[in-house]
Amino acid sequence: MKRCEILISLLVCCVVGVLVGRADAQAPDAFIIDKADAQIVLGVQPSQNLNSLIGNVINHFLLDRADGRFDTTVGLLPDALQGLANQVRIHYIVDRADKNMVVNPLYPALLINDHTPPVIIKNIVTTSGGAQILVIETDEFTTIEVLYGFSSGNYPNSLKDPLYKFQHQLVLPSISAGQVLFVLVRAADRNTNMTTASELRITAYYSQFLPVIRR
Amino acid sequence: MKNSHFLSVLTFGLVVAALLITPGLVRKNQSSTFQLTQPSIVLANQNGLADLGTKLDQEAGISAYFKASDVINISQVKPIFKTIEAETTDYILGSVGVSGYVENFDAHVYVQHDGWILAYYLKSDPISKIIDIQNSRINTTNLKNVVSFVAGTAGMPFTDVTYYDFRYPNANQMMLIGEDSLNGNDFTIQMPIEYGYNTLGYAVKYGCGYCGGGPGFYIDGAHQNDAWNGGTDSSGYGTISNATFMPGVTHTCNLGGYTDYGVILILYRVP
Repeated sequence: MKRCEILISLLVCCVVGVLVGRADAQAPDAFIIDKADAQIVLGVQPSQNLNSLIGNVINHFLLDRADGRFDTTVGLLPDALQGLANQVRIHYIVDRADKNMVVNPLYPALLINDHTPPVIIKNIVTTSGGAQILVIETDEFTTIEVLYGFSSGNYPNSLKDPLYKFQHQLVLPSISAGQVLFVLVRAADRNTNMTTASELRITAYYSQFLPVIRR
Repeated sequence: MKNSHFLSVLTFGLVVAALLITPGLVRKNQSSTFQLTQPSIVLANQNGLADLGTKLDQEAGISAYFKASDVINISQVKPIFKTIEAETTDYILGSVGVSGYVENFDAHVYVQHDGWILAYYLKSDPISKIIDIQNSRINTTNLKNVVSFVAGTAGMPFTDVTYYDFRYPNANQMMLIGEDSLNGNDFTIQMPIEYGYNTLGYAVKYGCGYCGGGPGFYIDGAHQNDAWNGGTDSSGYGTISNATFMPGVTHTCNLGGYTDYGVILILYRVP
């Protein structure tokens, strides 16, 4: 008998809960005010005039809860000082480090005391996109100087690669078809031993279009 | 039967003849003799210098050298060498320990009778191995300390070393920047875009009994993985990737927790 009463009570509670839930879902949006002493509703309307005025306010810092403020104008450097500032050489910008030191590495040429000149393994010219590229390979780190001219043994012009490398590539000046460029390559190692390759003769070839004759 | 006897005598005779002909196997005094090849450095010209250049090109990375004002007695500096690779009356080549450091930091040292002292680390070692991180200082390096030690042992007044990295013949400047953990443990750096950068490295000194809290060296928030690490209460060093340390950009370098000192090293070329 008691079990039956409990079941009936549970069923009734469920039915009431569902009905209340539906009633809440269907209620219009409204404030739910509980235990307030008074209530007032005010209308808020945007003002076009005020908005246009606010729109004219210049860009500004937004300060909140500060106790004081001080502005000062930071102008450009005077010309004389700017001129000096411009002379400051390119440099690292290091901020908040505790210490720094710069040293200059230098090859121990006197210790090594090398008297063997470098060997030029490769000294060829390749063509890429119309440009004549001189490719030089040496058996040790070398710098390269290329002397060139338009008659044998006379080299009024020069190109240099001052970096120490095993392989160098230098672009020669373009020459017109049929012209011959005489090139002399010099390689120097870190002990300034120098090797000079034999003279290169570079000729620019030209295409000749022959008419097609059909019998 | 006769044939087999003849063959036995012939075989015995051939074996004896072979033994007598073969040099090195039968000697009058029966002592063992081995053919030893001179190291390449000895095969060079009289003072071995030409091959020193080849040897250094093949195996040396960062180096420091000094020319003493007087000749050096090789036998006087020999006792400080832990290992000796080559030795003549004119020079000695081997390894010398760095005071206060474990054997990982032993430097390769070449001393020549006419006063030259050169110390170097191998080309496989990061350049930052030279940083004197245990003593938290950048006005000297491990290689400079070794050269100074050798010069002192030889009784030579020491002034300063010159540096050269055999891997990067075009580098003409090296910068070290140090940061301690007092009053802030970070700094910023912006490298000029006009320079060419060869290699970058860092070293850190750990100051922890228990290394919690992310110790080490950080660049732009990224922890750098040590190429070598001595573990707790020791130091570490490594290479900084050029790709992550671009010029023209401000980079923040900071020490992690329980890290007492850090140094960044930049090898570069000023055009």
